[in-house]
Amino acid sequence: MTMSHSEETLMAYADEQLDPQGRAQVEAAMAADPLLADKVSQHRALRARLRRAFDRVLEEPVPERLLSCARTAPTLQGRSNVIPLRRKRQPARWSWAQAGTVAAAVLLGLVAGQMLPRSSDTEPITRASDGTLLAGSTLAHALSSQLGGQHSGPVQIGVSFRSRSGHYCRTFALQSLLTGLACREEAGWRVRVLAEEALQAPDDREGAALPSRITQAVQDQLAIEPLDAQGEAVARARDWKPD
Amino acid sequence: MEENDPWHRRAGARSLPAVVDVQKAREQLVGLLPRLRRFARALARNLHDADDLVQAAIERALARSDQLRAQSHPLHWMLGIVRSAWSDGPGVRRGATPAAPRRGPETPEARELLSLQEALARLPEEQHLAIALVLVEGLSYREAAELASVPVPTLTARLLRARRTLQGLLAAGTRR
Repeated sequence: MTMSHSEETLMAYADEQLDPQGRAQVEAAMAADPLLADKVSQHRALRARLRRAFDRVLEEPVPERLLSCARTAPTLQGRSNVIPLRRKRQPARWSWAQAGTVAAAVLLGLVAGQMLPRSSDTEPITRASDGTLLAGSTLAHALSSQLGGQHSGPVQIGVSFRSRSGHYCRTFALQSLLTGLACREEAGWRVRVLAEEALQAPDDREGAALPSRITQAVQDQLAIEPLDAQGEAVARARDWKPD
Repeated sequence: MEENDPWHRRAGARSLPAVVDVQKAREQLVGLLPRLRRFARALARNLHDADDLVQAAIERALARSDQLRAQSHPLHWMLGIVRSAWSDGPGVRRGATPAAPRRGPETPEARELLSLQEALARLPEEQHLAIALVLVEGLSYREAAELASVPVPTLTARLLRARRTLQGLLAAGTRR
């Protein structure tokens, strides 16, 4: 061990970054050599000096310009207010007709140009008799039975909420490749929006994000708070039927 | 497995993205401001530059509000944005000449803070960042390494060099 390697260990000890075994080793070494204890004290003293000085910043009143920036600077959608719960005048970014068309195009691409079957046990999404998209049996089963955050099998469920029309809706990802939004209606789970975008892999700094068209669609449909775990359990018990 | 969970749910605490409520995300940002100001103050040379850095970070975060709302660790994410803004922005970087203070710092505490900031500003950028992350913000070596985008051994080596240099600067220079 070079000198600086062992000093890194002392520094880590001073910063409380060692596991119990590491701590015990350093403490034994310190007991035998007071110079090591001095080094540790120096590291701690510098840390304490910096903390004492900079912690005062935490107690300062936050300047008004920062408060107002946080509260009013424009967001992604260019709105600076709470998204209104009433239906907006301007059309949604993804109208249902558009979403259906794009979804169909995505699926046609996936199934290499074949017409979608009317019903199938194997296709994730099928076309209903009125032309809209329905979840196939695997996806429908997952939507009906999985709680959010569970992912056994190919379907991952994200958030659940109630739409303005009172239907239960859930976001989902199929094997991390297709993400979408489906709402429980009479005929089954109707796929409202589909995006052929993978869930972004989490990296160290930023969390995974739903594709923005999905979050936009969720916002457009959302009437009340997303369901928490208990809300989901209750909804599942009623088979996701509206009141 | 929590780490592989792309929805970023943590055991025992379901964090639902506040997909409807931008207002909640804003208030969450407001709650983080003291920590962000402290971190920025450790990076910038003076109060004004530090708050400029925080403002730039807020604007960037809100411009990506879809990601902000999906965060399960918003403080960590915001510290990363402050850090990027510091690395990117010429105006608030350490090389910029310090703005002449309107009045000298008035209290011993304010003078101490300024001495520390001036000493930190003379460190190489990566050492400066290591000190700010670990000794000012109190992050673990692992969290600090993530925010600095380096492996932990690189961070600890930089941190040790930084401490030695800083101790030298403080002992030599800034007593008045």
